[in-house]
Amino acid sequence: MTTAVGPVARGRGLAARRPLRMNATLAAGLALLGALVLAAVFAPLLTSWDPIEQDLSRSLQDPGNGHLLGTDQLGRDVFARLLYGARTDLRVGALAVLFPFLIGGALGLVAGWRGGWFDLVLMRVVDIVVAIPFFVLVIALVFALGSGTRSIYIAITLVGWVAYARIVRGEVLVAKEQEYALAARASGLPTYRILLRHLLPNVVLQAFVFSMSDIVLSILAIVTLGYLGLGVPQPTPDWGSMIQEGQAFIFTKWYLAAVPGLAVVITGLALALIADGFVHRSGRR
Amino acid sequence: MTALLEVHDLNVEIPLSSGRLHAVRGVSLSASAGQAVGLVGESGSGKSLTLRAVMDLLPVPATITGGTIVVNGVDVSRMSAKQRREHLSSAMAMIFQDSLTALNPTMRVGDQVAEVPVRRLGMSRSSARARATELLDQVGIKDPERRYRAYPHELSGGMRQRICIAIALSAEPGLILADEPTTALDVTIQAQVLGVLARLRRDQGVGLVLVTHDLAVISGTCEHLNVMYGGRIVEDGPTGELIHAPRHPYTAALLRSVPDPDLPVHRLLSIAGAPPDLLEAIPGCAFAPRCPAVIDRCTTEQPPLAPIGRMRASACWRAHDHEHWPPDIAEPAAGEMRA
Amino acid sequence: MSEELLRIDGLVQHFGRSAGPLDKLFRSEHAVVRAVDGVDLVLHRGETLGLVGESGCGKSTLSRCAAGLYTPTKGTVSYAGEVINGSPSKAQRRLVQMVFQDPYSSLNPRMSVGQTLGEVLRYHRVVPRSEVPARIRSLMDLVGLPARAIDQLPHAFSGGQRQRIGIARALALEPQVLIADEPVSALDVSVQANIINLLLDLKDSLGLSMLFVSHNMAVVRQVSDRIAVMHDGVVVETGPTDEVFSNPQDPYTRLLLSSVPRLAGQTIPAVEAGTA
Repeated sequence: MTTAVGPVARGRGLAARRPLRMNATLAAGLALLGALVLAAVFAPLLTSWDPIEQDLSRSLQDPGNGHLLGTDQLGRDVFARLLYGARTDLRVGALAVLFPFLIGGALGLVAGWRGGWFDLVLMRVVDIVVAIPFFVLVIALVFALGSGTRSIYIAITLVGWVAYARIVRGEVLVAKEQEYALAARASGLPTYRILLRHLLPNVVLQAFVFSMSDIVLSILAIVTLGYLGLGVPQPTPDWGSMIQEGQAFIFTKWYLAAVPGLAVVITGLALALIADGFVHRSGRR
Repeated sequence: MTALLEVHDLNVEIPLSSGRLHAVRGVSLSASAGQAVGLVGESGSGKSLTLRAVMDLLPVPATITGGTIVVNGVDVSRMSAKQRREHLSSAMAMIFQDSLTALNPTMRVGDQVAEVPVRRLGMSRSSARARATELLDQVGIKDPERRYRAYPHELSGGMRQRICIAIALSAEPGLILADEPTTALDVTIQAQVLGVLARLRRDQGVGLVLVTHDLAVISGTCEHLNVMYGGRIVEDGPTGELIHAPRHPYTAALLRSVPDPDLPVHRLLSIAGAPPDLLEAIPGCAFAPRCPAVIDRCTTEQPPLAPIGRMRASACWRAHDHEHWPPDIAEPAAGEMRA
Repeated sequence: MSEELLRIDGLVQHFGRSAGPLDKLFRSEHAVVRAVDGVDLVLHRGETLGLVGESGCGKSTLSRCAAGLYTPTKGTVSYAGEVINGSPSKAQRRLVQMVFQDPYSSLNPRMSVGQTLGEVLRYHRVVPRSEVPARIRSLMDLVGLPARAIDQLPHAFSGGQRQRIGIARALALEPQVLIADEPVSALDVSVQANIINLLLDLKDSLGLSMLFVSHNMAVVRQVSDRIAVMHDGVVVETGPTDEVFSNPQDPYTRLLLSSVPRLAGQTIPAVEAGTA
């Protein structure tokens, strides 16, 4: 009764033209990030120095003599501090993005889908948070909550969720009028199913891409807070306090500030490559 | 009448990660002032790329890989990019399917019509303004002085397409190339825009090359038709003859699949199968796998576009044998439906 | 007259945000679009009703109201005599299903054909869980797709094949009414014919009733028993298809009919009328 249809997914036809699942950009980003994570995890194997052990008799030594990158003003091994600092910064960066991502994403999803008063109230709150400069708010919150990594998480989450809420809400507003979302509704599927299976996978990409650059911003925020003495408490090694302390010796021992700075840049590069790779893979721009 | 545009053996390829997509495969056609030539085919047939190649507006990364394009007696493929653009835009103008994106949203439509007269034809502002108003009137815009000051988003789709035609006319071209100009419009508006094009041709002798997927639109507008399939022209000839007595099975099948508003039929003829994969070399006729009249030769040897009678040509090994095609495609569709 | 499966009474659908507390506070003006402005329509068992009109006339909005996707501003939509008013029950959903216009956006790009069909079958418990795979295969067969395509994602299919998947999804719930909103306007002519023939075959073999929405007069003529012509949010003319085509009463219907391009070597009659 029906006429024949053409072959499905010809070997070298349309199917072969879709973007490859893995691409060079994504692979490079993942490799770079993987190297950073491995360095952080296996820090005790890569250096025998203790990152917090002081030896004032050996302060500010040049690289060499058993200290790969020399020592800081308190005689601590810079290379060891760099590796252990990666543990702190990667963890704080990731967690400081995870909570805003989950909370903001969920609120944006519901606001975009439901609309009405919920959307109205949420977006006004977003407007208020956005109107206050990011650092002013974070610093005020950390100051109020007391310094420490937990305060940093809470402060960044309280400020950071708005970006995710906005992105996801905007994407949902478009996606819910797409015919596949209407079709899911016409099939009588329950709301949670439509939100989680039909809308979420199709709107999450933009938020994910943003989160990659947001991780770098969080690390920079920690660096800045450390600079103001509100960051990760001493003596826990982190890149922010390393940059701050190294700055005093910028004309004589420039690498004390430059090396942790470079680590931040490399982390940012890895995350940017991953984000680009994902966008490319999904065929969107 | 000398030909304003002569395309010979045009080839266009698109490099992709999975190979080279040979989208246009040796297309030849010509158009003259005052004449309307139609290029009809389904998506992927290469009709739009042919038109864009002629106007040097191929989308990246598509490139012309062979053939010649002669405009006003000059082969443009040998010119520098700048020279070619000048030569092409003085002889031809193009209108597109989407009139909203074809217009500058931040500029008054009248100024957009007056732009070419001021910048290229060296008219004074006031005379260009008068000229633009006159052109708006010619494309059937009522109250042109007032509409001159409108922005594109303030006008309807049909109005905007008229503005696009006025802009095309402002360069005083001999030939207008139109890529699906009415596809985005409603039928009542489509009829008006086609009417404008027909009147310009009759009153001002402007030639037209019309690309569309809609056989009915093209049959009412053009006196000469080229039917494209799989990157080639498979049949060409005067519109009436081609529609009443198609000599290529694809033309015949396409005609039979178009529903007629005046006559309900029991069921429409559909063409089984899918269009060819243009990433691959096609040894015989591209339509052979879907053709009800296929013979052995069709799958091994490519039929050339060979003349049949006066002014007609068909790329089918069985073009002269059409009485013996299977009955579901052999009968001329329009003839039967009109009877 | 036979049984009324779908009935629309005095339907009005306005768009534009309803006035919220802030708007009342600031007394802001609302740009309200009257997409549908008072329509009565009836679909009887076994018939195909063609709904024609140009873009913006409200036919798509009307069909979405009829499918229970929008809650009407005023008026009612009833399935088999029961008013649904924007939120049909699970059982009512199964009665009326919809085929969408754009085969490229009407399928979730991240779900395979099998997942799309299986989801609907399982949620509505159309068949016992163990029989879902077999039912998916028979649905594929019904719309003329090979069973090996079940695990493919939508991008692997052509436009016509995707539209077949959309039809299979609608049929999975064994509806009595199919609402087809411009089901062929995004397709090439030769593929259009395939899909129209498929819909007509399915209508006959499954005993469906169909609301066929289209801007294309020629297509509507081929499929419909009755037609309703819509213009500016209201139905200007209804009647048996042949009667409306051969003897249109409303001036707008006449304009629409005379504007349709005809396959012929002659000019379109409406041309001069339109430009004069």
